[in-house]
Amino acid sequence: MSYFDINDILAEEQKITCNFFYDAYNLGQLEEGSRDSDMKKGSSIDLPYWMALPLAKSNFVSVIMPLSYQDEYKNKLNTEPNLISMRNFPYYDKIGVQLSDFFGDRKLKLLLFKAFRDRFLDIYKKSVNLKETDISKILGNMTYQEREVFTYGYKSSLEYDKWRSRKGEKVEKNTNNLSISSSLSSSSSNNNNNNNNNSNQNSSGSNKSSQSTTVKKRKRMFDDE
Amino acid sequence: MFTKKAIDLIIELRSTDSIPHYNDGSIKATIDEIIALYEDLIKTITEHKEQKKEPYYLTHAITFHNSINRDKRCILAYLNERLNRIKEFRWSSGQSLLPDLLKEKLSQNEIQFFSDYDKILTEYNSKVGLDLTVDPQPPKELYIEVRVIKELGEVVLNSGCTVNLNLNTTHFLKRSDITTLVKNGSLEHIL
Repeated sequence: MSYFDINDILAEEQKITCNFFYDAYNLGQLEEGSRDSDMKKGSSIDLPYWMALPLAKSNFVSVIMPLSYQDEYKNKLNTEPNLISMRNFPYYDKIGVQLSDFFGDRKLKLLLFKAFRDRFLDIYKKSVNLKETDISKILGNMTYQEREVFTYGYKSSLEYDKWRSRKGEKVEKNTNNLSISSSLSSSSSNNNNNNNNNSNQNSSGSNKSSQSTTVKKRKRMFDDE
Repeated sequence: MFTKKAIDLIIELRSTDSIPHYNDGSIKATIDEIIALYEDLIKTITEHKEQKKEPYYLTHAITFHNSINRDKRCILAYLNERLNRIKEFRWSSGQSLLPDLLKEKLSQNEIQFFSDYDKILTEYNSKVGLDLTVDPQPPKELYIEVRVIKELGEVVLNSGCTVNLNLNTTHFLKRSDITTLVKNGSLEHIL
């Protein structure tokens, strides 16, 4: 986990149900709608992972695995990895690895690995073959790490097309819309070697920057939350 | 719940590809929260010096301490990510001046950062004798043909020559001279 990575920060917001072993001074405010100033012994409350971790390490709370990592969901993931939508769990794999350490659940790690391996082939196929479609819906069903894989494949297939049509050397208008709102830049783009949607124009325009930043940029672009 | 404002900052940043408005209000609110949490924490520890190792108080201390660190991390990540995007803008656009649209979104310090960063990059480029933002990959030909799609009039190029860039005329020019113009949409490269 990197300190400055915004996705890492958001992944650690995963809520974990904690059970307090002791009364806690002045922590009633953690619980919404609670009138006591102190946290009562035995009360259970959802805390984010980053707060639950130090409390559990000091043995002040007991923790329960989040619902989405319990058997029912795990079985689904095990049997039909490709059919599961990750729309509600954009950091399922990222925080899942942390949680498997946290709860000492080695099997979860293996399951996540297996699920990723199975999903990967599907993601790869989609990324290479779906060039002229609206991909925002597909991206919405993936976790952020999978989106990264997808954007690599998507971008390289676009560049391959560009090279094949001998447009690789073309100097293009900069479609990086950092300064202007996206509607402006997409309407005024003179990118004529592909008439795809807005996202395609961005990807071909951003091949001026290095590969890693491009992927980061595209990753951000598809966040629709 | 603590750190709500700080998380909102991060979510705001994630939801867009561009640089959003500098959220002064939320940052100030987060800093206020840090101060409040800190004072509360110190007060608890000093008031209950004797019993501070008891779980009753220690839980409180751990929670507050981690919330403070979390707030700090969110703010730092927010600022850091914005700086990265500003740098990215400098590299991808090749412009050494901030467009007004972007400028009003930045804080005073960020504008200062941009001009300082630009200074370093420009100085380096002039020492090397090459504009590094123009061609990340080696070009195949030195001269390219361009069509003017925005009236520019008489323009003095980097290499010293003067061209009349009138609307809808085509020119055969040195690539490094006009790449910036193509990138900002005044010219169009014809293949």
